[in-house]
Amino acid sequence: MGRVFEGVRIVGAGQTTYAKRSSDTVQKLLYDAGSAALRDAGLDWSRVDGLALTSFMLPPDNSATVAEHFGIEARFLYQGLYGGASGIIGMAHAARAIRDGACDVVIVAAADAFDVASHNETLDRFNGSVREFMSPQGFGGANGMFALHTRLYMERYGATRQDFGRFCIALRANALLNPNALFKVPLTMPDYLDAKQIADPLRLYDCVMPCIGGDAIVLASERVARELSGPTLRILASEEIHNFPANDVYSVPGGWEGFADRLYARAGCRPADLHFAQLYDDYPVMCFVQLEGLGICGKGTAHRFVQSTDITTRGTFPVNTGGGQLSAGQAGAAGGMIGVYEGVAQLMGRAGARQVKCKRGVVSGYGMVAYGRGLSSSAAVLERVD
Amino acid sequence: MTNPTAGAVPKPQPRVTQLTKPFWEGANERRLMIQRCARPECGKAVFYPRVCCPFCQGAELNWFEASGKGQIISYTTVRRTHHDGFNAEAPYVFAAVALEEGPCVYAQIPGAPTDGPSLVGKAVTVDYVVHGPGRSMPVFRLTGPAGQA
Repeated sequence: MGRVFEGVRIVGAGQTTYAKRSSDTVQKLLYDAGSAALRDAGLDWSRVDGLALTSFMLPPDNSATVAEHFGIEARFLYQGLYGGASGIIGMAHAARAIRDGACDVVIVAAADAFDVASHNETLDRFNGSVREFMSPQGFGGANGMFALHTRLYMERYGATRQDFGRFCIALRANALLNPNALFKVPLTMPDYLDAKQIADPLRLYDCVMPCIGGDAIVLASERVARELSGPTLRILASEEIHNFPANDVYSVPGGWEGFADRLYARAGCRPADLHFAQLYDDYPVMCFVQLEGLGICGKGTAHRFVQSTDITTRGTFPVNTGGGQLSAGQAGAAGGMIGVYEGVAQLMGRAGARQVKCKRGVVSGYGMVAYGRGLSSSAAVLERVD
Repeated sequence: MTNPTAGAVPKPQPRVTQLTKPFWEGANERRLMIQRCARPECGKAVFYPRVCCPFCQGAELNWFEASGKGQIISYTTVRRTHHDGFNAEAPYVFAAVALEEGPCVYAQIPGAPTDGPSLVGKAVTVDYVVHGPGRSMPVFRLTGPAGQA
């Protein structure tokens, strides 16, 4: 079977510093992340003819007005509407557009400038079902929503707070090697277990820190990629699924198992062939669900997986090597690109002190929290071309 | 210094639309109104209010009064609220409740213990509290002695 994204390469990745406070606008963050990714690739903005952007704070502006703002004549635009699943979905749309000859160089970027108040405000009126049938009822925001999933996971499979703690502590260790990460001090198990209570069983370090930042990658046609001196990557496969399973919020807490078989069949590899996972870590429980849904460990065994596997950059199966949203920060919709940025930087060998030995890895996205769950799941397998 | 307006922050109110009106009017009459697919071969109960059946995509849904009985799928004790309108009542128990008829409804469980043994699977019965001017909100109480405490 031919490659799904034949003729398309990932050629660069860029990330802004993640900050708690900044006067930067979303346009500035998208520009900075995009510029960093282009520098990484050895291209400049004059070559860009497509944008795939995701940002909660971009409206009333949109991808077309960003093209105008930056002075780009765009032959392809995408604007992500699926929260943290949008980065990977945008990457796949852009790759199809390049494959089909619509455009040559696409910046796939996400950025936001959130604080806790604006994060809560956004979520409060995120969509109709949340606005009418969760928020007025006092759902406690995303923390409350995912507290329900966390409790259910713990009761179903016997996972403990310590298991989630191990995961969060490992991500913090990874973040300490990422100069762009918000958190700069190690996390200990007592810190984790005794942190401020938020929504039982969740405490402070189960929850992401809303912040300001952006991430970008550059996709290019093979024709353009041939001009470049740096390493390039292939997208072996990319999948998305929404509202899976329909009408069933709690039996399968995430859509990944709805496409994992197809993802690996198209990628031509197995989970055992992956060298890392960059998961959407809005809450540690969702990472457990992704490890299982993506076939990296068996269903209901992620807590045992993190007991027996070192997931730091020094470990046998590194996860969220830049610290993820939990320890680098959640810059709104950039949460859906931070793992893509990190995966690309790793595969290109440009991850500095946190570099892991890798040729192939999985990146995963999740978003659009609605009536009790995130509706949208996405994942892609990326591989360096040697 | 205390802020005289703290605690006076209104809770987020639903926007009552033509679609959701039967639910909110029902709540004001202490009736838990939900929808059911009109196609006999489907007939599934539906919540939140929809324009079509999410099981069979049938166009016709009929409103009916649910039993108000259900059980807790999962829950949390909200200690840090998402909206200042709930600050005065935190910590409180917030749950996903599976109605006897099938659908999942999100609601607070007033009077439920905020700490202690798990409430997952516990039986609950609907009740109503004042949510804002002219607006009742369905909540659930633990069925039996614990709920009457």
